[in-house]
Amino acid sequence: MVGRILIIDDEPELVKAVEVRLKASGYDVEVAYDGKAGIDKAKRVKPDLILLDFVMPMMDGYEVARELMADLEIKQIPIIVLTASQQRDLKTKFRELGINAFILKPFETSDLLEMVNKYLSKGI
Amino acid sequence: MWMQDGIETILDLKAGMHIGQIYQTEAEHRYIIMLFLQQGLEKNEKMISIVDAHTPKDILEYLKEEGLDVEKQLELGQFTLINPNESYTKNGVFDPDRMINLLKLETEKASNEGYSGLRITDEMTWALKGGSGFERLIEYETKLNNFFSGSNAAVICQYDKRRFDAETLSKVLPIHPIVVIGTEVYENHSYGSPEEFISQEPSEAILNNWISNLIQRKKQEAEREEILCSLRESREELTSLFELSRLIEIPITQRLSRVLERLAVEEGLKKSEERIRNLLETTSDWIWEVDQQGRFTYASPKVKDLLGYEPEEILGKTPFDLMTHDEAKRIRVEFGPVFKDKKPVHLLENINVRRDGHPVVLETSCVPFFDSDGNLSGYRGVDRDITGRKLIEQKLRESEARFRGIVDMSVDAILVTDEERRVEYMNPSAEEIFACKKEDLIGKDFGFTITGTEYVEINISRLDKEPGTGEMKVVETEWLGKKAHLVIIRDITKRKDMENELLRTNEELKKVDQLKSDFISTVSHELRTPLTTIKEFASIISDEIPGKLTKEQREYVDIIKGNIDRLARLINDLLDISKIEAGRVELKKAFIDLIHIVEGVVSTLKAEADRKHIAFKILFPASLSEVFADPDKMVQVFTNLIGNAIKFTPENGKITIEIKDKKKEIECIVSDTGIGIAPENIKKLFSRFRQFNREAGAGSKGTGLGLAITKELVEMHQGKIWVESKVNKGCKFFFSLSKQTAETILDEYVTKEIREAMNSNRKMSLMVISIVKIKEPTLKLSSERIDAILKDIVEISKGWLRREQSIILNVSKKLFIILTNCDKENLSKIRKRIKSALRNYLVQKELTRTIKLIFNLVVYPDDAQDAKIMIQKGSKESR
Repeated sequence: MVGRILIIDDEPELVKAVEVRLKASGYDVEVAYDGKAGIDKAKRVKPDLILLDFVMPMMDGYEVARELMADLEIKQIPIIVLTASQQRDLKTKFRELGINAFILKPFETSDLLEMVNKYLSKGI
Repeated sequence: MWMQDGIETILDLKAGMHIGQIYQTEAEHRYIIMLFLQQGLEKNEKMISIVDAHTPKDILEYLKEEGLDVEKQLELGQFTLINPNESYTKNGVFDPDRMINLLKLETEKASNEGYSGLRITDEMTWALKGGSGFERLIEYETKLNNFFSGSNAAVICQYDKRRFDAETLSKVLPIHPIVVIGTEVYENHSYGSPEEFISQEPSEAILNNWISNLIQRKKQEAEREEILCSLRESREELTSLFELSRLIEIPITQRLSRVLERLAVEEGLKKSEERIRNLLETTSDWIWEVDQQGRFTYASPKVKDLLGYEPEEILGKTPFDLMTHDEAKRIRVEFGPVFKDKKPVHLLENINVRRDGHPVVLETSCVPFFDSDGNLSGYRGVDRDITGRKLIEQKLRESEARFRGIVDMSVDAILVTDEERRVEYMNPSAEEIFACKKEDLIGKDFGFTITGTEYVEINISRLDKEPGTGEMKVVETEWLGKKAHLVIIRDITKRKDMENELLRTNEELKKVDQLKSDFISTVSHELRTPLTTIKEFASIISDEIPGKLTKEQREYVDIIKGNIDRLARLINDLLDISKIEAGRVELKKAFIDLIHIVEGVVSTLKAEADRKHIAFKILFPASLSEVFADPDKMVQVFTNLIGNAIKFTPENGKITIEIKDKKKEIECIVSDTGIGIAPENIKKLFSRFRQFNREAGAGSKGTGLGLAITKELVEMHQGKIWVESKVNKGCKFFFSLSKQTAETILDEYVTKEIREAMNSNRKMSLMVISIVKIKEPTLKLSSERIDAILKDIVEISKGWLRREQSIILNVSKKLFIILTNCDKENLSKIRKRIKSALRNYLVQKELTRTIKLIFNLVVYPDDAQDAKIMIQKGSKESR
């Protein structure tokens, strides 16, 4: 086990795809299909990295991120935001929370892995 | 100078006045008392009314009627009513000396009581009663003059003309320096020593003559004044002048005829003749007399002014001799019958010739006179020079016609209303705007509130037309001599409709725009999410994570992956163009090195080109100006153009990329050795989804949006893009970026930095370094030298700046250093560092005695909130 990654995304199929990919690369993967579950899980399992979708019902990625960053322990965990939007002010909003990593959907698998590896300082 | 208005004179009355009134009616008597007392009240004088024919009760009742409340004054003793028994005829004897003394005492008393003077009205009927000393009335009145002059007292002696005999009045009245006839006030110019009057032969004729003379002269004067005034006034007044002159001309002429006749009959009355002569000389009209043959027998001296002749020169001539031949003929024809019938002529306009040859327009009125047997003796008349008036009339007519033309032609409605908003005039446009006829509105209430002088919007309702909108302006003016409103209304119904239409369209456009922007973000998310899932699973399969693939499976999965990429590109391009069109793309301009960018793009695309054995050639000038543009967008432009070139260039072809530094712009050219584009297709090249039968080689398929996006991106940089091509001879794509002036770049840059600082709630700073030559430097500095120094300063400063967060611009020999995310504290630190480094530089170059560096620091938002002010403050040279 080279690292535990939590995926928070409301698209189970996409989550599945990412999960398969990450597991294949040797990561331990936890999933949550909505923001609230994501926050709970993050607090419980204390992952090494969180992949967070932006567009979700009820609680969007930004709100989730804000709550996560408010938790002193979780604050240390790096977060990568998955977004389909290139809106600049959206990025600015996340940056203000201290989140600087974004992956634009549809992403290249290699890009995703590269970024994950970088954050967890592990080669494949 | 004769007073014009009796009332005013009374009110102007000062202490020391001795006034005599002759009245014939009770109204005249009481009116003067009222005015006199009213003035006394105003001046806080003590007042005594001596009543004789009237009772005190009469007077008080009258004053009450007139609204003059003297109750309080009566109580205080400021006003007393007494009868002559208590003054003049005390002890039944009238003694002027005793009266004068009494007046002296009363005056002193009034002054001691704190009044500003004493004022007495005196009903003189007591003098009619006869008795001891009454013959001394004249003596008394004379002595009064001596007393009043210089005293604080004033008296008005009221004589009832119906009761006093003319002889007495003729003696008594001229003694008064101020004379009131009825209620008209006259200054008695002939007032002199009373003895003069006493010695004269008294007769009613003299008195009447004297009075009528006074009145006549005053009237004459008033008439002349009025005419003079009138002439100076505007058109309306001119019109009224005509009316006036018609009214007054006849009496003057008739009176003068009478006077002239009397002159002839009563030859002995030298004095009277002299008076008339004076009159003739002072009047501005020329008075003349002709005999029955029409020959001048008399001409007043005024003829010299009017026609340039001495009176003697024209005696014996006829009026026709003074006219041109034609004019004389016209007058003879038109007025011959009148003269033949011995009728008077009124206001006959005729053109005469001055002695110096100039034409003069005269207005003639004349009456015939007859001898004792009733035979015509001749005509007497008066001529007035109306040349000036004629000219004014003509000019007025012309100018009125001109203005009427303007007013009639005006598109705006022009109306004149009186003070009560009743319409007095309206122009044709007003009829049109209100959809009514003049007759419907003239004299009626205009209906709008007459407000200030600014344009206000009004709703126009009209009888048989849709209501409209107007803009109304009101100006205070005069119309036919009365206060009036000039109302100007502009019909803005059409404009208003258009405005509303525009507003509606704008609203709709906004909605469409919102829809579009919603669409963009929906498409972004809704298309990309499933695509990501597809792509992920395809690559998981392709990467053989679930298990090994057969050769066929591998082939199909690769096709899937290729098409997923194509779909992703298409979505991205679509979103790109939508965003550009919706104005949602913001350029992040910076100074960029185009060569560096081209090299980067070429290295990315090299693998693709290598597969087709395509060679690249890059040409650029030795020194290329820096370009102020968005680097990402430039990468996109070059990627599109070079990518296209690779796509349409056959194997072993060549692609040339050239950059030219032109005077006003940077020109970039991407040329290939492909099949070229037919002329008919060139125009469509930059439209969306246009792919014609260009034979593309192997490689990724295009989206049909690349060139459309490229064009938009270039144009966002105020650039131009075009293409030159011949079939089979390859394509040449050109695009140019205009070089911006340092000032506009600075402004744009600071604006952008401020906007970003504002969005991220940060600060940004501007440091401006200017070079100031020290007075009388030992070393002369050329402009080139300063440029060199500036360049050095830029290099030195750069060393102390974090490159990615700052930029240095040289604008009119000043260095503007823009520091992103830099507050005041930070800024002073940086300044300190740069300053000391530059100090070393100046020492090293031995420039310390030649130039001085001035640092200006401006921080957003502390010192300035917008780019203009920030740059202004930074550029200031005071210090």
